[in-house]
Amino acid sequence: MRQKSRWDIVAATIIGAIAIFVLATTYVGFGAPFADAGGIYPETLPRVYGYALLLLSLVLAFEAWSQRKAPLSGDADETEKDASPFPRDFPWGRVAGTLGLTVIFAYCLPLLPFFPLAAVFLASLFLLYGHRAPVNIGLVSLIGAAAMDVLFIRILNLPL
Amino acid sequence: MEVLNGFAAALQPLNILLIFGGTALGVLVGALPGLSSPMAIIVLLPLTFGMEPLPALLAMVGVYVGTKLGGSFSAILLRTPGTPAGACTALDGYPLAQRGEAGRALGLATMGSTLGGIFGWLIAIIFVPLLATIAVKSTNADIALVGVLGLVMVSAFVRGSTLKGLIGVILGLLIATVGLDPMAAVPRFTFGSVGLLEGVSFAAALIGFFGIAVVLADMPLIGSKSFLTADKVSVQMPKFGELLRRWKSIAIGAVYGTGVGAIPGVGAEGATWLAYATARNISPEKEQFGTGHPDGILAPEATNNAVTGGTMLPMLTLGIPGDGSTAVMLGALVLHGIQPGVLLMRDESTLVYGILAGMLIATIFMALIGWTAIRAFIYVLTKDRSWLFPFVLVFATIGAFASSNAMFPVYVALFFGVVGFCLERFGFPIVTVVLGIILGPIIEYNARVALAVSGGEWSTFIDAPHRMGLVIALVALMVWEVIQHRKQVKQAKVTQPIN
Repeated sequence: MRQKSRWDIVAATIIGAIAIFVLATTYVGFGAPFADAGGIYPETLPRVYGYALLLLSLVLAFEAWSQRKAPLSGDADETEKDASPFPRDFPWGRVAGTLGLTVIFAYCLPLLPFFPLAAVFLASLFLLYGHRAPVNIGLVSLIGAAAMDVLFIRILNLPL
Repeated sequence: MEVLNGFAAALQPLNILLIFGGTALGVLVGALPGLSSPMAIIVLLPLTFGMEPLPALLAMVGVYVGTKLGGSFSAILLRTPGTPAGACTALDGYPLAQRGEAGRALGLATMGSTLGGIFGWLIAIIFVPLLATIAVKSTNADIALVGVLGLVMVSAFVRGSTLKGLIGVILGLLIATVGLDPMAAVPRFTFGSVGLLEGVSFAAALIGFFGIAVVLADMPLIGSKSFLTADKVSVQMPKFGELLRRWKSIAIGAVYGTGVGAIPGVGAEGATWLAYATARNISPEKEQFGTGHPDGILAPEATNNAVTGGTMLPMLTLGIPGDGSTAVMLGALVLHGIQPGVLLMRDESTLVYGILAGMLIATIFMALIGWTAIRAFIYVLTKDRSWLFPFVLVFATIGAFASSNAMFPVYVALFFGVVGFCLERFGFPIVTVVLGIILGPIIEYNARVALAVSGGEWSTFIDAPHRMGLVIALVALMVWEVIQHRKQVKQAKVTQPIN
C-alpha cells in the first residue's frame, strides 16, 4: 500500500501537470472572437475539464500522501516490488523493442513494399520474443506476410 | 416487419459467414488469457473498412458474443480465465475438471452461455424499439444530460478505484476536445498540426488503447506455458432435465447480466460475481459451491452472455456504449458514416434489427462451436502468445492506416498505445477514457445547441420533469460515488497495517 501510494503521488503529479497545461492553454485562448449563447467560448469546456482534473489530481495526491507513512503490509502478495506499476522484472526490453520495431514498421509502410516489410517485421518480433528456430520463424513470417499481402492489398485494395 | 427485414439482412450468405467467422475468432480470443474482445474487434477493423456497415458490425457482434464463452474454456481447463468475466467460472469449473469431468464443465458453460445469451437477446429485441421510441423524442438538452449521466455511471460502477475512473473520464473528455471547435470552428489543442484539425481519430485511439496497449501490457505472458487439467476433452452437454432442475441459476444469471449490462461501463465482471453469490445463497447445497457445483458454472456463464443483450440497449438507443467492445463497435459505426445516437433506430432500423438478429445467430453459432470444435481451442490454449502478438501489431497498424488512408492515425495509435499502457500500469481503467472520448463530442455539441436554441438559458437543463429527474439522478450518483470512494479509502486503511 505504501509503495502503491508513492506511485499514486507520481500519477497525481503527472495528471496535475496536464491539468495546469490545459488551463494555461485555455487562458491564452483559442482565438474565437464571440461566445455562443449561454456564454460558452471554445475554451470554456476544456477549462471546466482542466479544473476538474486538477481537483481530482489533488484529491488523489492527498489520499496517497495520507497513506504514505503507513507500514508495509506483511502480506506476501503485496511486496514493494509488486506494488510498483513498473516492476524491475517486467520485460522492459521487449516493450521498448516492440515499440521501436512498430514505429520503424509504421514509418517504412509508405516507403517500402508491404510483403518484405511485414515479413521482416514479423521475423524481428519473433526473434525479440525469444524464438530461435530459423525454419519456424522464416516459415511463419513469410506465410503470414504473404497472407496479409493478399488480404490487404489484393482483396481489400488498401493503398499500402 | 422491420424485425423481419433485419433478419433477412443478417441471414444473407455472406453475413452468416461473417457472423460464423467472427464468433469462432471470438471463442478463440476469449479462450486466450490476456487477449480481449475489444482487441479482437480492433483486429477486424482493417478487414471491415471496405464492407457495408451491417456485415462489418455482424462480424464484430460475432466476436463479442464468442469471447464470452471462450473465456470460460481457459477458466475451466487452466484456472486462468481468458476474460475477467470468466474468473468466476473457474471457482467451480476448475474443480469439476480436476475431478475428471472437464467435458461436463465445458458443456454446462456452453449451455449456460447460450441460454443467458438468448435471454439477453430477447430483452434487447423487446426493449430496444421501445426505448428508441422514447429516445427519438429527446431534445439536445436531454441527450447532453444522458451523456453526462452515462459518464458518471461509468466512473461510479467501474472496477477498481472510483477516483481513478473519474480521472479517466475527464482525460477522455479532454482528448475529445482536440480539433476544431464544433460551433466556432477554431482549432483547440492542435499545436499547429493539420492532422489534428479533425480531432483525435476514434479508430486510432481505440486501436491504441485496446490493441497496442494490451500487447505491451501482456508482454510478461510471452514464454509462459499453459498446463491443462485434461488433454483430451469432448464436451458433454447437460441433459434437458438437469437444465430444468437448475433453471433458477440460469434465470439469476440472465437477469443480472442483462440488467447490469445495460449500465454503461460496468461490463460482465461485476455481474458474474453478483449472480454467483445469489445462486449460492439460494441453493440448498451452498456448501458445495467452490468444489465443482454445476450451478456455480451455469449462473456466471448465463450472466456473461446475457450482458451482450444488456449492453445493446444503451448502445443502439442512445449511442452510449455499455463496455469496451460496444465502444469499438460505436467507433466502427462512425467510421462507416453512421451517426450513433437517438436517431439511429429511426434512420437505420434495418441495421439495428440486423445487428440484433446477428446477436441471436452468433449465440447459436457459439453453442455449436463450443460443442463441436473444443479440440481446436484446446490446441490453441497450449500455444505461446508470442506467435500471435506480432500479427496483432500488424493488424493494429494497418487498421489505423486504413481508417483514413494516411500515416498520421498510425502515429496517433502508437501514442495512445503507450498512454494506455501507462494508464493501465497506474491502475486507471482504460474503458473510462475511451467512453469519455466517445461521449465528449456528443455532450459538448448537444449542450451548446441546447443553449443556443434556448437563447442561452441554462435552465433549459432542468425545465422539464424528466430533465429534472436526470439531474437529480446525476447528483445522487455523484454523492453515491463520493460515499463509495470514502468507503474504499477507509477499507484500504483498515486492511493496511497487518503485522
